[in-house]
Amino acid sequence: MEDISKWLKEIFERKEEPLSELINKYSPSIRRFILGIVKNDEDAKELTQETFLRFLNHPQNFKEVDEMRNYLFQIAHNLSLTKVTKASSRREEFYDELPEKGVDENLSKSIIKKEEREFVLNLLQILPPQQRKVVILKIWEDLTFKEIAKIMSLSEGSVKAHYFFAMKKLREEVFKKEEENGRN
Amino acid sequence: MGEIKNFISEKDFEQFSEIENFLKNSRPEFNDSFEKELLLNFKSKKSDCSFYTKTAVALGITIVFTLFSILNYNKPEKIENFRVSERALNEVISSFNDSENVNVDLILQKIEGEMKNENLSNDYFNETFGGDYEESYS
Repeated sequence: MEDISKWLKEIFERKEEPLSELINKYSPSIRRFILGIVKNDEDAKELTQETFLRFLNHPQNFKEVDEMRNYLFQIAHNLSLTKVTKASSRREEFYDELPEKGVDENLSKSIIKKEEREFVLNLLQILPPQQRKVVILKIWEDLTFKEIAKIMSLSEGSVKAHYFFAMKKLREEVFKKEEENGRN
Repeated sequence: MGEIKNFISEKDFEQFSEIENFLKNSRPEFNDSFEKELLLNFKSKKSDCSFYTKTAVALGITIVFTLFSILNYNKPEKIENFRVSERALNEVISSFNDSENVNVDLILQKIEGEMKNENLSNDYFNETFGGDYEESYS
């Protein structure tokens, strides 16, 4: 516990090593969560940076060391509430910016993966923001309903309901797309 | 939805395993240097803070120096006007025989000299006879 407190103190003092550890550990999750909401990677990066900045600038707000990840998600969630509209109004697409691999086999794999992910990101956009967040946190970040409820300041029952209806909607949408592709 | 959420059980979610797996497999991963950029930004943000601190310190020193200067500022001596009696002025002017060499400095020097003598004579008059020499004879 003492080590964690020391580590945390050094993070807030912005010492390079612990700060780097924190960023490497949590940044991909936060960025992915925001990307799922805003769909645009530049906005996701910007909001991820702001999430960490808020965390670092207000150490007094952080109480439970064990819940650092959830606390960061909470900041990201709050930020997305205010900034999501502005961010999603831009139209650049994240996957246009991915570096292409040189080797043919890797390239084709990369394109397939890229298309799949793009499809999923577009798919998520059919959900209302609350449902989208629940799905991302549950499926991509493997959080429990209880944790999600705390992050989003909802009851566990509401989170379950959001998840249930979101999955139902997503499944229907995928079936619909598959049918369309089958016809074509 | 308030009523429905109470009836959702774990079993209800089993029907979504296929779509869940599909979404799980499509989880975005990042292979760029964003983390490094982030770290650099935070470090530079920190140096920004120290820049502000330095600026604040410099500003503080300037304010203290200015206040110190204001408090210790000595007013330059004011040149007071002095009055000269008509008699003294006439005496001074008439003492210059060569009017071509008369200038303001010479007149002032003379007047100052006369005034000193006048004060002395005033003091002497006052001590000896009582009353003011100027008032008695002007």
